[in-house]
Amino acid sequence: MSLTPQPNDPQFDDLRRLLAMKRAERPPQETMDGFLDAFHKRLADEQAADAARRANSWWLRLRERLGIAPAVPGDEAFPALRRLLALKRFERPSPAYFDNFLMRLNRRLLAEQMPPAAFWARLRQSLTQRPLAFAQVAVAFALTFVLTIQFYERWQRSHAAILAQAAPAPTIIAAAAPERPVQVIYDDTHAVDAPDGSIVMLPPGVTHPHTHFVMDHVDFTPKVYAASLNY
Amino acid sequence: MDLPTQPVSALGNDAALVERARANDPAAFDELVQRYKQRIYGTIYHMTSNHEDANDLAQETFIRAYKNLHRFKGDSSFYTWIYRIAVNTTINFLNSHRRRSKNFLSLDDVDARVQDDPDFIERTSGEGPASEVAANELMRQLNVALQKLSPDHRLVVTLYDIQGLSHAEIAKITNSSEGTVRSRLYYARLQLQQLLKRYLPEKA
Repeated sequence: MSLTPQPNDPQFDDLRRLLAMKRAERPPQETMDGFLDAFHKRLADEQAADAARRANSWWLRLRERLGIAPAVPGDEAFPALRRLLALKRFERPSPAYFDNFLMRLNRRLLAEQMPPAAFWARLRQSLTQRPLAFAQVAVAFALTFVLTIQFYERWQRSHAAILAQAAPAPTIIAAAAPERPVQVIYDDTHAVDAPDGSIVMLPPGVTHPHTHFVMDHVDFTPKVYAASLNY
Repeated sequence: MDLPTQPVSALGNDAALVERARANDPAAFDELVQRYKQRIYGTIYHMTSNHEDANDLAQETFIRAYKNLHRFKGDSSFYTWIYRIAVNTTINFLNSHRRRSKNFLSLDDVDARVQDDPDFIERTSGEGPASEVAANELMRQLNVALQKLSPDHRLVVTLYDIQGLSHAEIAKITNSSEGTVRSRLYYARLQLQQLLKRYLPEKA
């Protein structure tokens, strides 16, 4: 059996017939009608982009800056474009605009020559001119102020909790004598006399004997100092 | 009101007016404003395609000129100097509003006489009210095409093809060589020719 592909291999007849149906598929009529216009528009855009790239190339810019710009065709190469651009001369404001130009200019010149108004005067003027904008700004300021205060308070609370957690965990040894108060002993501590006569061991940097500590470990094992023979 | 096609250099002696204006004669500066307001406004308008911007920048141009009149040495003519102020003010504005400028086209009034212009008639087929619509549409397309040019290229087209200044005058205003002006004009026209193809006759 030959492995060479046959162009009209009968085993593909069905597939060929199926694919032949694709020939009946047509694009929408409006696409075909506008195809040429769309093509010309896109071509013109791309050619304009090419011209812009050439016009703005660094090499040309450099030559222009150095005064050695290339020789280029003159007006004779663009007669129709020049006539078209000349039509722009018809586009201008109404004559009344130019009649009042000098008056507006003198008014602005006078305003610029006057000494600047005081800050409060300018503020008052702007407020009276734009009350709605002022109200919006005022609300924004108030909101920002309230949020800032709330955030600060929350931050303060969380900061205090963190500081408390960071303090070394105290070890409390039950007093040997029932009347003796609980002693708090820290590693790397110093002893401070409490007002009730007890001795409190405080962490470095803490001098106040009434500091409130959060204790996470209390040793309730009684310490027995009775004489024993287990020496 | 005549269309500003007369060469700027033919406007007369500005030097005497400048001297009087320097001597605090407000009427003299007013006269200078009256002479150049249309041209300055026109140049700025064709650069920005926006009436409000053109109005503001034209006023700013004259205010700068008034404030800096004592710096005007007279080495160049007054019109070159005031045009240079207008051009610099406008280019600075365009550079700082690059994104905005393309979206804020505003059409100035179109002089009704355009409908009698043979070039306009050749390019549009409307008559009566349709002609006015066609004129507005044509101006809009011209503005859109001009806005696609870089400010440097738009400037030379505006000054040469619309305002009617010479290469030498534009070179003085832009502080560049005539060769540079010709080069920019050529490449700007190449772009416009593509952008405005539908309004231009087919080449044989």
